[in-house]
Amino acid sequence: MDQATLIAKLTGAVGADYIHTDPVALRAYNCDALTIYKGQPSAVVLPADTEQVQQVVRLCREAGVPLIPRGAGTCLSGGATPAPGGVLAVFVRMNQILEIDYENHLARVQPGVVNLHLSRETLPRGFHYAPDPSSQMACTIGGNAAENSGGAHCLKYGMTTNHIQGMTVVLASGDAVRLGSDGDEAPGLDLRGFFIGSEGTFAVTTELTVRLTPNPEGVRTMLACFKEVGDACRTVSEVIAAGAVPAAMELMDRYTIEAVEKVMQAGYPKDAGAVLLIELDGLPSSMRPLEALIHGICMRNACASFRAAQSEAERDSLWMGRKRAFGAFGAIAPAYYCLDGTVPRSKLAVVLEEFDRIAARYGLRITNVFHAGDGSLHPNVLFDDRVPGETARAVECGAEVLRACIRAGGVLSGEHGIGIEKKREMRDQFDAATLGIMERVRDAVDPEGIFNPGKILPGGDVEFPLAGASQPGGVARMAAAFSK
Amino acid sequence: MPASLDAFARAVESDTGDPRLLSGEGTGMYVLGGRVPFLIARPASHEAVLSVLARASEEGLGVVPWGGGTGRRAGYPPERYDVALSTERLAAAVDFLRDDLTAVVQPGMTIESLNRLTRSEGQTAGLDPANPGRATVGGAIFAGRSGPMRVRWGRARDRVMRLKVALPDGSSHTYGALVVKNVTGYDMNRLLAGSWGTLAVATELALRLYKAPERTGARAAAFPEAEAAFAAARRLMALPLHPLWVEVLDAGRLAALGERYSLPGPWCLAAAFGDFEEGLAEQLRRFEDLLSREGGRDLARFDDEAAARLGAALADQPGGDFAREEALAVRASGRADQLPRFARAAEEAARKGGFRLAVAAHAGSGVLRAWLAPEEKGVEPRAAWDAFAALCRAGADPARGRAVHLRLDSGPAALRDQISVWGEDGLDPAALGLMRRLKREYDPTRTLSPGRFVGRL
Repeated sequence: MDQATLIAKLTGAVGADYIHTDPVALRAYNCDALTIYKGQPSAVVLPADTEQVQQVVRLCREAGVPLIPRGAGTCLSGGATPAPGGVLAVFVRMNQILEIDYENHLARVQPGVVNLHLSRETLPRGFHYAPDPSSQMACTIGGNAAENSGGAHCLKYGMTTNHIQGMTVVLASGDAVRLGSDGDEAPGLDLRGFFIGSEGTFAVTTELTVRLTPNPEGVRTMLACFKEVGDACRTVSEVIAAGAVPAAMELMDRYTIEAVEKVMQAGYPKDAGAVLLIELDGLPSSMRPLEALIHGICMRNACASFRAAQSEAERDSLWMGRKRAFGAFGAIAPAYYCLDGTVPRSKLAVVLEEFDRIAARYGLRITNVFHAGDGSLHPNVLFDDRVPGETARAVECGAEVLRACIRAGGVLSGEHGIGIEKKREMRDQFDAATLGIMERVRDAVDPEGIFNPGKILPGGDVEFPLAGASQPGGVARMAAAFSK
Repeated sequence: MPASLDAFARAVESDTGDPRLLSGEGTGMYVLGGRVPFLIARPASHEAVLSVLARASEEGLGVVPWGGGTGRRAGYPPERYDVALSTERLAAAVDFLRDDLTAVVQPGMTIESLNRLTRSEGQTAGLDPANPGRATVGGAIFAGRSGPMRVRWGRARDRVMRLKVALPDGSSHTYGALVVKNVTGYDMNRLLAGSWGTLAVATELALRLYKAPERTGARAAAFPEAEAAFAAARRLMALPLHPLWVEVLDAGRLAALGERYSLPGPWCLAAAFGDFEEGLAEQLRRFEDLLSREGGRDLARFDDEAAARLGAALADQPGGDFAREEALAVRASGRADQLPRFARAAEEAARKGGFRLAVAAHAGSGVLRAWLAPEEKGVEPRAAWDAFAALCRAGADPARGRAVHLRLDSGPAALRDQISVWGEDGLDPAALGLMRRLKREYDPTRTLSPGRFVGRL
């Protein structure tokens, strides 16, 4: 099938108003929030339902053209950046909450439902959807499933995979298949769990059944400030070792505090080496002893000041600094590159020291703002994308940072996914036999390789051109709009 | 023994360094579906597991990984069953990283030993399969044994941080890492957890642990009807409390528990909580209020040790006649508001088949288990299963997101040969096709538990 025929048939499948082929319009879709790699699609389709997705899948397979699912394009690892010439399926028309079952604490949603919209709908009835990636005001639940997204409150509530009971997916054969269940159990292999986090390389998801969580009765937000980042890290390790799992525990280092306080007044002391934002939720009677325990651990680790928010406004202000930290980096550097390696929580302090040494070797600065309670790091390499060669240097520095995470017993990605960004480093993480079985199972699920090729696994013949240093956008200016 | 098998046995003996290798006599306790393996291999290292698998694959033999043998009455009889690969010599703790709440253990460690290890530091793996003295960690993870505590700690598969596995082609893989948050590559741990030994054999498992609650307590109340008990359980799950378990039990299950626990019936809703003292008191008080509001009577209280003992008893299966060879154990899973229908289906099954019944539901998780013990007169297991399946599925509507999944957890081999043991008749054929393709990638020679699992993989 030639390209013109494919476009004509796709138009027939989704309707003339719901396909873009104009090269100028397509430029808007040539990358996700990782903007250094580009891939121009040949068409963007906006299917309306599972049947249309099935038709699109069958047509792409027949034509031998890649099909790439895209939620809101907030992915930070290139998961939604199309293989050049591929067809991008965008789910803006499949954005309905199909059912909310308060009796059983479940919701059935289409993949294009924005994460936060579901919680907004259910909050008044006493429930919310727990996974809360920082882009939750924009990102979609389908995209979250593809990436197995995390978020600040995953420390207590778990990742996306812990909140999806079942899903309908369209396989490369065009078959629509129900995976998982509405209940707690489903027959056979856990394909639901296996497909979640497969970054759109196995199938296209067209419906999801997700769990709703009762809203906590109380929330307590605390700020602990430290002179030395090592003390803050040791505090995190000790809190976890004590089994005192807060709802969230976020760490911001000196550079991050400097950036945040430059652009807003979040109330972080400017002379602090690090701050910990700790949030508890639950029954007030359950939180009180936990707060006392955490306070004690902070004080044992040379905490310079410790305060709990006394009002909703103060709580919002403390979180605002955290949520806007990535945007604030613009105040201290022209561009930044955000990574997301994860390490055992007892290794946080030594790994951050190692990051400093790596940054010094590359002549760059690395800031750290991250989900400390999970050991889920977000080192940000600051650089100037106007300086020739500095983008490439930042990318290399980032790779070195990820290798340091692996050496510490950690992994390349805690919540952003591998995508294009880290697939080369997969060889540092896994041996050839393990990568080999991943490749074989991918091929078993999608024998012709039509779904999102060129992602996750190293090798393959799909190339994503690296954007030039002079190209507007830099590495992560766009990502800043969706600050982690 | 044919010469080739004899040579195989000698090679395995040399690979495993196990002079007490069992063959022929003495293999009786490893019966599966009436079949006896000719050899019990007991490797003590990853390398030895690899070589046993590779040799078996080469010879076209069937190997069934064997933990504590608690699942021997589950699944289809294997097509080929030459070797039971026992993990009894792979039962050690490899590492206990207390500060990272992580335990690295070998698959043959019993749940009881794991609990002893973690309890020493006030931690728990939150795994509660039946028969913890015999059930192994490998078995719990690979057979997906999640008990009542799933409502607090999640499913068994959620515990797995890292797996080291051996494949029949002689290759070794390590999936995951000692971190709690990980999206690096495909989630192979979830593919393997619950795969019933059909894809690979684990030789080391790293598990996520939790701090065990400071204090625990449980409350139980009687309800005249199943509907009322299940409705009260749903109200409980809508409260912002964090129960350790929420179980609804029928009179048969209460009787099987015995007088030691004196739970009120005929239907009983029982739930446990764990917290610091002040929080626990509030959670228990609010649960008591709820029980009273919902019409619960004869409140029973269990504190600390008593609550833990009750939890352990509920995680176990009823013994006596319920554990006989002719007995059945069935389960149904769906949305929680379908549990009353599942309970009626279990009653109907017992009546039709001539069985005595015990029912317990993980009421917070939409899972009902029923045990059927043979009465004195002849029983009809097929009639019981058909009645259970028909009534459970009445009103199911998968297209509208109301699927019901059934499973025969254990039962006589003859029945297991006749029905969809794993509930695959309710599974999308394309999903089953996918499972077969994945099996081919892992085990192209169908060495591991051939024909035992879903769709006779």
